[in-house]
Amino acid sequence: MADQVTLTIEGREVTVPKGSTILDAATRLGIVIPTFCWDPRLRSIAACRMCLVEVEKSPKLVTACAAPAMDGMVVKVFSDKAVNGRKAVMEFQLVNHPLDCPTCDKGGECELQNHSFSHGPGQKRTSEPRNRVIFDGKYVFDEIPIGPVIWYNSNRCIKCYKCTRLVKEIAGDADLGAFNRGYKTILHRHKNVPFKSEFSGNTVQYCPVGALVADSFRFKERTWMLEQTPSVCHLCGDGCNTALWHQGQKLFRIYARWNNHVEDGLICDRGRFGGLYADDERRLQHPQIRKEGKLVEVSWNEAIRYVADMLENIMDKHGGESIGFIGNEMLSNEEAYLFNRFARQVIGTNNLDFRFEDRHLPSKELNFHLLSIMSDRVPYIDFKKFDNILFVGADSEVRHPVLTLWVKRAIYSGASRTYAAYHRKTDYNLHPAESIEYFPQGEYNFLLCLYKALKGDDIKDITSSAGVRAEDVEKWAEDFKNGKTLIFAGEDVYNNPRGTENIQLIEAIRDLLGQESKVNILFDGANYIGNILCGATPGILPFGVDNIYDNRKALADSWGAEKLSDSEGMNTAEMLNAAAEGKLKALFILGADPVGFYPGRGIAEKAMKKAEFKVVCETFLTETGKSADVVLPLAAFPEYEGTLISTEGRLQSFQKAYETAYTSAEGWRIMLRIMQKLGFEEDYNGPEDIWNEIGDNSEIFSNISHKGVSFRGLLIDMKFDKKRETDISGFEAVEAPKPPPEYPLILTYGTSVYQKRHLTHYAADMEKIEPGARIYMNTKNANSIDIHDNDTVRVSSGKGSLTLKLTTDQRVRPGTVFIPTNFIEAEFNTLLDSKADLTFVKVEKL
Amino acid sequence: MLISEETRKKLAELKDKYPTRQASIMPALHLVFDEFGYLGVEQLDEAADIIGVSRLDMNETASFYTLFPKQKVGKYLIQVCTNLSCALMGADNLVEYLEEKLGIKLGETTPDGIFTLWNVECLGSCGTAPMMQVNDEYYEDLTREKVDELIENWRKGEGS
Ligand code: SF4
Ligand code: SF4
Ligand code: FES
Ligand code: FES
Repeated sequence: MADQVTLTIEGREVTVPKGSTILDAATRLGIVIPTFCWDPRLRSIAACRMCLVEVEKSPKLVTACAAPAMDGMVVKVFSDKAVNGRKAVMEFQLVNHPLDCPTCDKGGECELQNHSFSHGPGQKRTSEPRNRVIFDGKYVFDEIPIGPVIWYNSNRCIKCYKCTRLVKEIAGDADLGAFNRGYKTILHRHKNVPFKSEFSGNTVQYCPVGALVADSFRFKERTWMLEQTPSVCHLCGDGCNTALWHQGQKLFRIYARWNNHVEDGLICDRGRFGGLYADDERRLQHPQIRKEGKLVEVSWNEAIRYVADMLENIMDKHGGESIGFIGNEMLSNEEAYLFNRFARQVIGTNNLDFRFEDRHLPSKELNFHLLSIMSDRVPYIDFKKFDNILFVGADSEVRHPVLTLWVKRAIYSGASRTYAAYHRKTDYNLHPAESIEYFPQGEYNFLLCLYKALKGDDIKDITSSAGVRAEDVEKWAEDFKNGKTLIFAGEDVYNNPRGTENIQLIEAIRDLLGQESKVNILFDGANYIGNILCGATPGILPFGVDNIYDNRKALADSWGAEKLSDSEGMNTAEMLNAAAEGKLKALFILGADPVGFYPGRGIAEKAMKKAEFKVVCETFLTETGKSADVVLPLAAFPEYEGTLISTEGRLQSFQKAYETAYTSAEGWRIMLRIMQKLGFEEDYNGPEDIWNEIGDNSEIFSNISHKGVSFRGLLIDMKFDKKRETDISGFEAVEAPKPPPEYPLILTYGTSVYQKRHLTHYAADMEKIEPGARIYMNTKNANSIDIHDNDTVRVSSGKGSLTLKLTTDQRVRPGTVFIPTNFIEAEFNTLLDSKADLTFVKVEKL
Repeated sequence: MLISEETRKKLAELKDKYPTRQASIMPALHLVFDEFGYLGVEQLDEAADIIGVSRLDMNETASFYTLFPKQKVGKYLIQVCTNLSCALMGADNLVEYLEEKLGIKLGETTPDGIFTLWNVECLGSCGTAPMMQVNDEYYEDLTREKVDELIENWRKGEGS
């Protein structure tokens, strides 16, 4: 065959696709050739020469990682010539190496140690002193901090350039490079640019030697003393596969587990370093009950009994409908399912929700619509099949670092062009996307413009309502007519006052673009889809069925319950409002912090004040926890197991690394014990039992055993194929936001790339990477009112004011400011009005 | 802005001249060098922004080429070859003599900013060793007398 070549390696024949290297061919035969600088995700640069092999008729040894396999080639890997060649390379590598394995953190998992043991000469012949790079006398062990959380030791570095290539070629960041030449080469950052790539931690994992070391692991423990447990990152919806390295109940580090369909071995720093919060000693240690106005420590038994008694009391007095349940999008499927049984069956209410960081929450119809779109989604590895990739309403690099990595690959390889529409410029680094910035919450007007432009209508009259230029939108429309387009609908598209219309418009646009174009919905949160499918929203019962009479009846029968509540149920926004008005008497809050994160701090505080009884289960004491009547310490993710569904729709399981630390308990256990006190008669030994019940009763999850999802995960078939006919012909542009003169700027907010709510705050590394909250403002805007980078400013709205440091940022749209939500002490949500769609602010220099 | 309008214009022309942006780094280094006589981080950053490559790439590449000074050097950059052929022909003595005469060590610049003394590897003029390159010119078959005369002339040139 023309596109195949056949060669002989060590006397064995092998056929590989044209373009494969000798290394690929040898791997296929199971022949191991040692490498340092080769990495399957990077282009070969043949820098280290470790992979030398002999090729018949070639006068010199060749590098297997770079030399293409050719028809009729005869390769010898273990001939004397090849073996001696590699021995010489090894000797060279070690000429200047300090051989400080006993104090090197890579010891035990170092490729230099391994290769030198298997391929090295065992002795060196030079007697000159080793070259030693000393940056300045300040740092012992010749290590210098090159980033906020990473150290570099040039003497150990073998110049394989993996680190800089990972950062540049894959993450697309320009902040780690190779300077100087020859033996004087050092890997370093640019003098004036900090090493802050959100993928920086991967350089530590893939450095073949101990030249790059993570601050959080440096001199902490020998690698062979640690155990590894497979896990899945909880800190965003991308579903990266991770390995937890631990010893007893101590978590030492989080590494990528390398699932080449998901994170491909590259996780972001939020997941790698931020996840270490699980190990922080500020965690809640004991159940606490408010007695005489103060939270005091009590035993688990007392706490559980108290919660059950109080809930029973309120049910007797006001009925189950007077109790609300607020969870969070990191709940595992098992937790979400139990959460739903707790609320619907044991308490008898449909007031339950797992979303609490947005106010404009999708209705059940919209959720069904989202799920039906996701039934035809595109998996990560297929992004590159699309010519155009369009993001709308998505801060994708920040909210979905690893999904965006797949998009970057599609861009960098030249397969796709990228277009980003958002109220802020999102940049795709080395190969920037085209970008359109509309007004905050301008998704609807923008999509309408794009739709009309695609249809060939004149859009001159409506573009100003979106704050965009007609020619930009028209150009995009032209571009999209060529080739296949993949549209990502971000969180801001559906968590939006016009969420339903937005999604209808996106579908209409996709239809205009033709059969081959697709839409993916982006979900922030480790288990957004799973939470919906397992019943954690009011309108949708477990396994994705509508909460209507027949379905309720069937569910009640399968649970052996008399009857389930017939009410509509409330979402989080409605629950908080009802509680603040005194209509909701009790709140059961599982891993959620509405006071800290709900957009409208006032209403959340009021709800906590007005409700008679509030239970908060949390890992750390949150703002919400401080005003609760009962605080129950929640286990952190290494301490329990379960399954999650990522934004890709991939079902994956994470394992328990060790028993719950401190005296915390797993979410499912806490709920089950309270439920049993309230008369629930079933029992589960653990998440696996709960999973089996889910599988037995649902079409989507049937035939998937708990063990079956354990390793690589599987893309679930959601089967929500209801085609919704919608008529969008009557859609008209709405008015553009008009800030009042006293508050001329529009406030936008969202997560920061390094953080997940308050949690990552408790990881020491994150504090170093991003030391505090700031407000971001467009440089021009700032200068026009004489404010400069690093000034301290006061931001005020009609609701409140904050004092923050300011960063000028070109990417912020003029007329708007951006505040990251992750800094609890900054209390960003005091500024927000829980009634108005948008919040207007003013900024003054202090 | 450190780079002059004229150089900026030339740099801008480089931007899309080659199939890849990377390829315009080398000519850009020459342009900056021609204007300043050295490549400072600030100048490189400015040039990188103009030709549309990352500041990091620009600085990495510049650091690879030791022939570009990275700090301000004297008006006469004296680069003495100390590689094998020149060494055999007494390059070390030559360096010592120059150090003594100029009152500076290798790698230093005279306080009046006129001379900088470097040693370099083979300049491909082994047949006429020992030799040195001063700015763009080669001076070959060097002896103490020749060096005296050259330095004298350059100093005089400065005085007048
Ligand atoms: S620091 Fe590590 S990964 Fe980077 S070049 Fe050196 S050895 Fe390779
Ligand atoms: S991209 Fe998301 S899932 Fe992956 S490591 Fe980062 S936070 Fe975790
Ligand atoms: S692995 Fe082939 S040259 Fe480095
Ligand atoms: S050794 Fe001096 S020029 Fe060749």
